[in-house]
Amino acid sequence: MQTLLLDTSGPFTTVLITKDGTLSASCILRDRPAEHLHEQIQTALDTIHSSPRDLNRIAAVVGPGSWTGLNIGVTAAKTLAQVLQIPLIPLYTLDVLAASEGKPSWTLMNAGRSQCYYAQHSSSGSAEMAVAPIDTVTRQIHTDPDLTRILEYGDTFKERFPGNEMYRSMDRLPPDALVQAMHAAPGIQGADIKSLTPVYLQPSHVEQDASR
Amino acid sequence: MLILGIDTSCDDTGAAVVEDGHQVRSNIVASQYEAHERFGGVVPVIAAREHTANISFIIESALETARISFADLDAVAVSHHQGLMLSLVVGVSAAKSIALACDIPLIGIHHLEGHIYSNLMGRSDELHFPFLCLTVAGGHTLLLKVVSHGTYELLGHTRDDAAGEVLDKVARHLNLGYPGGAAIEKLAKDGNPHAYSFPRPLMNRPDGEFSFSGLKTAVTAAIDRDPDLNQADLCASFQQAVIDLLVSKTMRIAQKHQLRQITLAGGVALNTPLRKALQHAAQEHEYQIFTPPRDLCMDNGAMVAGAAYSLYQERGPDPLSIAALANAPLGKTGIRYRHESKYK
Repeated sequence: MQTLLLDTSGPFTTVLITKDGTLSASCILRDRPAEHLHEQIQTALDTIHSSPRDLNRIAAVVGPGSWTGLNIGVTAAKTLAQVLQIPLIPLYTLDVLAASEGKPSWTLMNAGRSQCYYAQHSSSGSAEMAVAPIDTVTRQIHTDPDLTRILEYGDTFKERFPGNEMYRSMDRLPPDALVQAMHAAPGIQGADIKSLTPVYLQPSHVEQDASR
Repeated sequence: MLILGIDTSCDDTGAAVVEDGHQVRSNIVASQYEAHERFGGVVPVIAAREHTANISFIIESALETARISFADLDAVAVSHHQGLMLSLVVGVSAAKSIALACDIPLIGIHHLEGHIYSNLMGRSDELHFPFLCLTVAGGHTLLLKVVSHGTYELLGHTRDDAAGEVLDKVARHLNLGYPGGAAIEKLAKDGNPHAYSFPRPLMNRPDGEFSFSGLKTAVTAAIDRDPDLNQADLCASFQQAVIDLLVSKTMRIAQKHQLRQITLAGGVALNTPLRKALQHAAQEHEYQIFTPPRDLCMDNGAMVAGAAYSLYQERGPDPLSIAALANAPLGKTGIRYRHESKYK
């Protein structure tokens, strides 16, 4: 079972290939995905002397994250799955972030305009992702009696948790966490692949302004 | 040779299958008018989101209509230059994935070349190099001498707004909705084109330079002065001014450069009064006018595949690393038709 895994949600573009659940090739660039994503996929495949036809499934981070990066990554993943007629596993950024730690945690990332995407992960790892003002989420975190870990994708809200040893910022989704999250996530097929879009949890700023 | 052409340069998601550069086996376009209508123009982030949601269905539909599968494709072509950056990258990502997964050549096409080639498709027997191309849309207004495949000379362009852009902006000022060109044309049918005396900037200059912003200001000022004005008369007069500018410059440049075949391309080529005016003016000079079929005027994948067929013979395939560029020089000679700062 060979799986191609793509993450274009942040400042790094990550391409991984796993074989029977273990990482067999990786190509990570500190670059946005527009130009090099497909070259990276080719490079990763070449490393293990494989071709796209050898892939059995694709996993891709669908967000939240960089608007353009995700549009590119999700389009790449679903087009590859469409052509190769293989299943696709959508991965959610905050689930991957949580998978990097074995403990229950809060995960969050900047959503712009003083908002943040956040999820409170239970011991089973499941979580509902939402978007809310960072002030509200910070208050909830500070009053959580079971708080063990705060993980942020990026470091926008670092100053809100000064000296808090439970806080940790991450500038990219770690390969191990991506693979682990992939094992836990369900796959989709057929029409669900074609209709897949990045996670747009909130309207664009233009739409927000227009609705006022 | 079967080429899948993809265009996501602005707000239409287009995919088409074209055989041997001229036989359009399918041409599917998903319009985003409804998504942008309330904003009175295209919103780039929304356009990108809609492209991402639509692209797989449009490609599938193009293949199904052409009664082929991915395995039958010989190449995939995509508009990668000229347009909205956020939109272009979606089509480019899809095209690269198809090239990679099917192991077929990837052909990047300048969006403007797609419009230029919309007239050449299936007409190589009657349309001969060199010819003059007036390409008019929301993003550009150009007069080009098409010297040979992929080689152009810039004979004129707008120094400010594009013709399609001022049509959209005036329509927005009148609350006519989007796209504005079609709304203006519809209202203008019942209006008097001589009711208002709008300026025709640079019309009498001997060169091919256009300017539309002064006209736009004059029209919007007229609207602001009299909110109860006769919209049909205003639209007819405004449309006539745009047509006069486009036709007179085109004829003058054709005469100056002795180009007897003239093609009209781009979204504004859908405007029937413009087509008629150009035909009428051409008859006087015994020039030949070529206009593309109406479904090849707006942004579409067929024109991209059509251009790719000819240009692939000249240039060969592109690497998977081709980048989308909002503004890119055109053709072998690298024509720069926008302000220099746009190319940085």
